[in-house]
Amino acid sequence: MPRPKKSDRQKKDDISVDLHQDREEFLRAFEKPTQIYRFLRARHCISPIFLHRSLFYMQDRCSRTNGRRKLFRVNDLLKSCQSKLPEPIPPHYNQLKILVSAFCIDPGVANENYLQKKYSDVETEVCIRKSLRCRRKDNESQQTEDLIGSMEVPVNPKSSRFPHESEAITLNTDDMQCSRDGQPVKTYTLVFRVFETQDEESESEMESSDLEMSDTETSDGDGSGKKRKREHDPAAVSLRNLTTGTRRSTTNDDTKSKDGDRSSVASGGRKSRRFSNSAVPSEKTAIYEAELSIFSADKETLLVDGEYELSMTRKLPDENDYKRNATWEALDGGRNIEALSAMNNCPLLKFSLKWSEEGCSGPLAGLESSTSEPDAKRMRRRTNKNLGEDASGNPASNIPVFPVDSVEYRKSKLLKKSNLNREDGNQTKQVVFYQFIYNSETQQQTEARDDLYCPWCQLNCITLYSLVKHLKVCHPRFNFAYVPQENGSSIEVSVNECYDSSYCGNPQFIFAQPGMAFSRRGPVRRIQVTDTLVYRPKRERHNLNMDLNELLEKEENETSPAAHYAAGHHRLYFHSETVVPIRPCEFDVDSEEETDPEWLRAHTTKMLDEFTDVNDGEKPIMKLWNLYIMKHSCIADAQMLSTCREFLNQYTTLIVKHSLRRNLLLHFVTLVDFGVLKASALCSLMDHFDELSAGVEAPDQLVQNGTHHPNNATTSITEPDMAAKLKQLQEIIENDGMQIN
Amino acid sequence: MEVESPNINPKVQDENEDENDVPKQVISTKDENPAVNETGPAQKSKRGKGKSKISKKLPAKGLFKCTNSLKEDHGQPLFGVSFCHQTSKDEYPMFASVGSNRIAVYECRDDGYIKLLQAYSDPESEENFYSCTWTVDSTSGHPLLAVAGSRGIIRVLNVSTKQCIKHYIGHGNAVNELKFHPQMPQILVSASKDHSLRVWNIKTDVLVCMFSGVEGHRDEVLSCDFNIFGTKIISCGMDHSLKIWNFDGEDLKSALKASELYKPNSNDKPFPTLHFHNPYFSTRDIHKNYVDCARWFGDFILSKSCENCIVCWKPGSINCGLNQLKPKESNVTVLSRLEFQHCDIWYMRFAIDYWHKYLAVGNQYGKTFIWELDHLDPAKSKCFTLSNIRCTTTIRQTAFSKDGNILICVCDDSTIWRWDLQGK
Repeated sequence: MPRPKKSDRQKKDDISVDLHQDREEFLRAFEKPTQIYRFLRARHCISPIFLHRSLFYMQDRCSRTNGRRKLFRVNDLLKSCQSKLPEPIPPHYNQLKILVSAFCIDPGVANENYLQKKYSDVETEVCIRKSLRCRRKDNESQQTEDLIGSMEVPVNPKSSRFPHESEAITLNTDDMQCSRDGQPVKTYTLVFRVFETQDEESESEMESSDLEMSDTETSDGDGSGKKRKREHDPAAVSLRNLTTGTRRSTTNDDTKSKDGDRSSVASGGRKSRRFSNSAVPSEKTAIYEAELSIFSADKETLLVDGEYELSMTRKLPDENDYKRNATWEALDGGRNIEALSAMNNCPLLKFSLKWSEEGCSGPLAGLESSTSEPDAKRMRRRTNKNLGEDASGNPASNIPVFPVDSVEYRKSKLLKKSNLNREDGNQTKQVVFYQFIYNSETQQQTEARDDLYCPWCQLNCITLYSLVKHLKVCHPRFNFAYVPQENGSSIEVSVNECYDSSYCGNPQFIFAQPGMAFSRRGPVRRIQVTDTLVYRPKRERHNLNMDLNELLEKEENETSPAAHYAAGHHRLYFHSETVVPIRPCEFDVDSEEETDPEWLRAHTTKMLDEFTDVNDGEKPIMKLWNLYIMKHSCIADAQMLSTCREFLNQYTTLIVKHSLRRNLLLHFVTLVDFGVLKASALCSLMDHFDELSAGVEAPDQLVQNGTHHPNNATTSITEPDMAAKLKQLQEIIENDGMQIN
Repeated sequence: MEVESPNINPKVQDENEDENDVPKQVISTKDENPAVNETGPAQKSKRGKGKSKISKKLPAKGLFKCTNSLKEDHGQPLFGVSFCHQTSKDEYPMFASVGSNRIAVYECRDDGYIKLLQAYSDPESEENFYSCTWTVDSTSGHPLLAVAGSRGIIRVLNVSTKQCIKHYIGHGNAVNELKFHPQMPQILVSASKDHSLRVWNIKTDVLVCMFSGVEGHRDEVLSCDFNIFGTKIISCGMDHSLKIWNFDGEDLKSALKASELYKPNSNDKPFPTLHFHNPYFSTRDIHKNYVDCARWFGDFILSKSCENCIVCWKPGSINCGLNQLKPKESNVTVLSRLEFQHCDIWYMRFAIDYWHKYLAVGNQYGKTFIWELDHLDPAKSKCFTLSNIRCTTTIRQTAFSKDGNILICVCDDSTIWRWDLQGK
């Protein structure tokens, strides 16, 4: 130590500076890859290119089993559909069941985000609004509003769960059809309002009308004594979260988009009816509102049974929210179409409507209990849990219910299941230590997590094996080393210096048009191509058992997992003429030109035409011969005789037709003069020609070889003959015509 | 019989979108403004002379008024600018500028305000875009922007969805100019340094045909243009030649038809790309240097080389119609010459507005010359000079908005200049 004496304060300062520097270094090392993985995760949530549950090491995420496939028969499809069909509709219902299942907020919309960050549940209130017809003053119609019930609805629930039937809000419509009190009722409108919910310990102002309170209690089947408060100031809530919320900084903002994604995926598959409408401001505390009219003016029922998604309009335009509403202006050339984009930008309230007669639970209830029984059970247990916390007055219940909490709850259930399967009950709580090694491997920071979530993706891997495998396979910018410990397991994380972000997949995918490979815009039709798996590493037996030992041992050969499984060779070929990449399906088609490309033939003919010292008889023979020799190349003098014979075999008809015998003779004589043909051969060739010409006189045979017709050749050919290609073009055109027909 | 092989460069750079490749040699000729036939001192003297000449000869100033200028942050030359002609009348005129690996889309608001709408940059930092042009998606009606440059990859951007929707690989070298067919919005022609012109169908991603080979260009193709009916293409290049290619032959028509019907996702045979080696007409008599811009003007052709002159000419003799040329026609008839100053470097392109009212070309010192094309007779045609004291660098390309009221000039110092038409 250079300075033996150091005041305590100095020491403290040094330590804090050290800590600060240390922290800086840590961030410097891990910031960039972490941000990249966050982004990738968000993108995966919005538009996934694969599903984690279909990966072999994520088997636990796949909740379905294929057991039923064996017993599957096509006829069963019809039966199951028939059994699902609702019973024939009785003529008149007097009860409308409203079952609100979810409140969905688009995580991308900035000004709605805070809501989701803070609340896992919102309160939804359903009112009926009667507007009475006033005979005297037509312009002022009287409106009365009755609350018919309210329920708690999860924000962006993970799965498309259906709340239990008992939570449904029922509306008696007996007296609606007829006018009441002598005053004709013009319309009945269902008004949906969404509130923020809060637990009772909150110090913020309460503003809950007595009417609502009582109605809440009666409508909620379990009679939860929970009071709900309306929260005006979002800033206050966020502050509270900061002070008392859980300390998992990465978790909160990450789960939300995932949730949003899930719910949107879930909603995509369901048949849904969509209504868009306008808001009527009536109460201050509601933050979202929407309405649906039940009866038309002719007392016809407008609403039918089914699933609904209702776009909610934001209320409460308070000044504090000014900044939150600031979003990037959409500057795309295509102007937004309001009607179409309304459903995308607005929060959606999902609910189902069911008309039924009193006392009859209806077929829906039966269906619910059979198919989504675990979900329903979970829901009930969850509310119980909340209740229990409230009753005990646990200070921890101050915290608004986070999405994370609900997820954790689910996790523990799943964990239990997996533990049961593995029959080692001592692993109820698995602690994973992440040791982040940085600063050229001299420093490390340790972070403990008691779940099996990937810290970068917030993906619940359920088992430790899956987690480690996922980390290694999906996050190659880091090195992960798994070390088992007695009270858990530790994973050493360091930045992979060798990672060069280069692409090691099939080059075809990059050269293909955007959207063809790894399409994020839905399925694309592609031509099936059979690829050969070039190298497949031995997958050992215990791999399938997901043994953690596997992750311990082989560190050296796990350089690039994608490279092992890449199909085909990593090369891209190009068409020789157009230099356009060859698609895999085109490999069998030979695009290579022969030695006599058509342009060369055309050019040859053209050049010969330009000769001025050659007479009109000589030119055709020269053309015929040159084009022939271009294709059937003659490399030795000895071959000349046979080549000439074949030439005669092919073109005698043409030569005879145009009476070019003397020009042919001249040509052969020239060949003899140049010493490539023997004089004796000349005689035999001419004999051969005479023999052939004696046989061919019929005029219809003369034009059989149209493309090499001397007359054709003499007339100027402006473009090379593209017979073969034109034929292909015609085929394409004709094929299309046939498909249309 | 010896025949020169077609000058297609078979070498294809290993381009791809997401990946940083091994560093390639950049085609940097255009960045450094290679002055052809030019020396330093000569420049200076010319400059002084030119100024006095202009002020004496051309008192007519103020046809257009400079209303705005802006500078892009990359500082690299802007080579291309193009107005979107597909927007409706009640929308503000939209244009795109390209340079370096950037593409920027702007909107011309009232009172000279230029609003930046979108900016794209190519993942490859070595990319240098040379040309851009607009078309419209025939199914969705979205405006599409095609860009290409030194890497020879043609990209098509959908500015409505802000995505690169297509990319075409095939050119063996840089692409110098892109043009869409005036009647078929999906037909794109590209002129490339690899001596070829290619015709693409961007709807079915098909390379319809190529114009190159024996009788094609012998050096870089610098510019190309469709005539107003889309029946002919004019191309010009570094081989000092101008070539007219037929675009209405039976073969080509069937190829275009087939390209519409070809389904790349279900057809496992490659599209039979046609290859045209022989132009309809070819001449080397107009210019004696690189021909870097050619445009149709009715049946006439306006072309320029780095000779301070735009020539208006027609193929064949004066009475011969465009479609009645003899097969080996070599005559040309020069109709008129538009002389201007200080434009003797290559890759300077002029623009004609949509209604063929004005022609604008920039020069090396930031001046823009405008001719009214309604009377092309050199005696009558008035030349207007636009100059701004701060605009001093080479103007690479100009573009008129569809109504001809706005002129945009892009410069080597990555500045964009907006000139608005003054009421007469």
